[in-house]
Amino acid sequence: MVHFKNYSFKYANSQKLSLSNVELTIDKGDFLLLIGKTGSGKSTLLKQLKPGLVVGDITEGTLDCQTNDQNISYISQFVDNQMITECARDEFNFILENMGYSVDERHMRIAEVASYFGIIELLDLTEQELSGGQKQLINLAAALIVDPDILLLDEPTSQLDPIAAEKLLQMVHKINSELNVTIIMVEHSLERNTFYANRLAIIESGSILLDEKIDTALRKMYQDEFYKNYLSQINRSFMELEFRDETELPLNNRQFSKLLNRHEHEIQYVNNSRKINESKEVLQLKNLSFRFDFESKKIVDEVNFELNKGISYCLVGPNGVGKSTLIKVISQQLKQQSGKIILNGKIVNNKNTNIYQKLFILPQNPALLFVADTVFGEVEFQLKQNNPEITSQQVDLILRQYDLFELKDTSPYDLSGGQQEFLALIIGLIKNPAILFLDEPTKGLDPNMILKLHDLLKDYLATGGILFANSHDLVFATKFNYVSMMFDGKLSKFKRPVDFFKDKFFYTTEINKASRDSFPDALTWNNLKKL
Amino acid sequence: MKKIYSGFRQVVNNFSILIYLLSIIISSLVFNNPIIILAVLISLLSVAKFTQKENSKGYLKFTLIIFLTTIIFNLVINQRGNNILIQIPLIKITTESLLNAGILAFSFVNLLLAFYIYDALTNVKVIFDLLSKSLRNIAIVFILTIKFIPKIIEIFENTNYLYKFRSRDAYKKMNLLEIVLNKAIASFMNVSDVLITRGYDRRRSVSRNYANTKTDYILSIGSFTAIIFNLTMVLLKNGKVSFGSASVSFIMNSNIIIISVLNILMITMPILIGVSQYLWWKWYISKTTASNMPTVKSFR
Repeated sequence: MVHFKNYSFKYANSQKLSLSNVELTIDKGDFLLLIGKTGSGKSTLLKQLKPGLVVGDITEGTLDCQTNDQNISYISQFVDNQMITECARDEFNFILENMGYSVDERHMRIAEVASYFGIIELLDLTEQELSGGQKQLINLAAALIVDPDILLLDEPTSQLDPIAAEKLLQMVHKINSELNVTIIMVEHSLERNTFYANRLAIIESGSILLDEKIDTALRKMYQDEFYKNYLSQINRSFMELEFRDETELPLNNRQFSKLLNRHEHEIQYVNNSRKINESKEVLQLKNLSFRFDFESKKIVDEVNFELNKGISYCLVGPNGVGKSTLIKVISQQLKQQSGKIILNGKIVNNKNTNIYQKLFILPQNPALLFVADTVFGEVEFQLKQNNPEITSQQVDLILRQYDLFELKDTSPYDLSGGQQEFLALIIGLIKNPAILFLDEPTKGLDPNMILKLHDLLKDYLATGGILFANSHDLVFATKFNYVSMMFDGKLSKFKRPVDFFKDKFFYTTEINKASRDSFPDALTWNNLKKL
Repeated sequence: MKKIYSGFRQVVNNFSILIYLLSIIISSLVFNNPIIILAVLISLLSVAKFTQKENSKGYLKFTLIIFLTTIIFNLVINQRGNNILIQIPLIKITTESLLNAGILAFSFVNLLLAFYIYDALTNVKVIFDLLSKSLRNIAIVFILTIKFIPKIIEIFENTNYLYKFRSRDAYKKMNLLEIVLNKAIASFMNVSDVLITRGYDRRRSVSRNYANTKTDYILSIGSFTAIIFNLTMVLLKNGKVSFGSASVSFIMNSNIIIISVLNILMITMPILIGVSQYLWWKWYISKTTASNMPTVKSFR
């Protein structure tokens, strides 16, 4: 259905080829999973099928697509601001009108799609009234309403919590298997999506490095030191434990659990957690409460906790429970209605501006932090806050230290989502605050970048810094000293990851779900080792 | 109030509402007779309460600020008139200057309330449909502006706040305009991509047939007649006073009473329609709703 033949592409504002000699064939009904490291050209390749979304030149080769642009739908990774009109009903009408459907056809299409996706109750709700998962479901329905032959998805689950992400993937799978719609999905990690795809391709520096059926692809990836980190926790653990059983990948939790029980005597649990030393309290929250309106319920409800020097804290929980709002209240972007924030023994208020020096906030949209025209400018600006006499050579040195030198003249707004997140974090680390607040830091990062992020944060903690993060990524949360869950404005007690996750039924890692009978403390693949 | 509003929305289509909105905007613009202005104000306030949205407090607060600013500003710059009420150094408040200030301030409030009702009763798509029929380029600018302005405000507020965590001096000013524009362009490109994915670039002329109910005819004809009537009255110099002059005064005659009553009726039409719908439901429909048992028995 789609054939890229020796295809090369260059963006209009760039001298470098973004796609180089791509050879890829996609058949009708395929569900292709396309992965690659940040900035490898995944999204660029996807957008070639929707030419209105990219401005550039094809420098070589051809793209043969046996369907027209009207029959190809695209869904971006952004959940917000995807609706042009005020509610889903208007949005569906808008799309169908653009495509020239009559009144009666529009009515029937909306009825069909709303029933199929189970979103009849959501049709008249405004964007503000919808959760992240519901918004993405409506985006999916909007893409499907014109009965496309090909559906393009660009990291559709990156901004969703694990439960909402799973629901969306199941719906995409249903569309693929029931309606025979060809799916091309760009992703930066492989957790649940491998169950639904039939092919996996890796793109590196604009070229296709691997294109295989899922089982073969996963096994080949394990042989590669770089791409083995992309494997899901269950598949990675299966490969690491070198089970000789004939099983096709990907494995589900039930299959893996059976294997663990069968080979229990050959495996040992490895405790990787570090000992936590008693340390000085820096920030304390006392009965902190916040709500947006007089009538609305409390988004932050009587929250109490302390943050101590050199310790990392992670807050997990579904979308929309108030995790980001809590950070905004602590950083005083939103003022609490009751309760106190005490920083180094002093109450934080309008007169005490100490928070701006002591804290650093990495928001969900890292681009909000940028103030310069280039990556070099961003790093230079931050270094100059500590030392106004800083030289260009010293800035270059820092850029090389963080592997950003290649991007020094690039505009921070032209970086990919993952690169922006990484740059914003580097800016935070240069500031070296007493407390670093990260709102969904792994969003858009590939697994190797997450490992790099983890190493940088470890160094920061070693210098006595405090880390407080919100994350949907439960595997990332296991790396923290303490984890808590937020729901209905309240926080559960901060516990060590093992104690926190092992009594959770749904909200825990896949390894923990699969191994709770044999190794209840195991949370990630490296907690299980072959004897 | 919610039930009455719901009753109104169920029996009128967007086209009739647009004619009604045009009519109330004209009513709040064309007259400056204090009696008519007050009549229009009371009617608009009732309809504003009737259509109240959740986030209306900010708008009403803004309206109050505009009202007070206009009054104070006018009392300072226009001190004409002989009937002195209060005299303090530099400021002389007369009956006439107070009346002039009141006329202008209440006219502003009326206009703001009319646009508040417009905002509450229409949605982006209705206006977009209207514009896209013949003014396709303006329609696209309208959509982008509607999506874009709140986004720029949000970016401005967040950037301004987050900058304090980057800069050594939390109160040092940055070149916000350039920074916000850089960030806004990314957001603008995103909206533009969404329009492409929604197929706007292929949009053809859309035929739209509104199904009109009896209530639609009542609302449209009533509003249209009110527009013609109000414009005729203005051309005949009825409902006008010598605004700004020292001779401004309350004028009350039969024409003013007729204009006021007709405008009250026209502006409050949504409430009247909503009430009649609700009463019809309460007294007629609820009595005719049959229970299963006698109905089944009758058929047997």
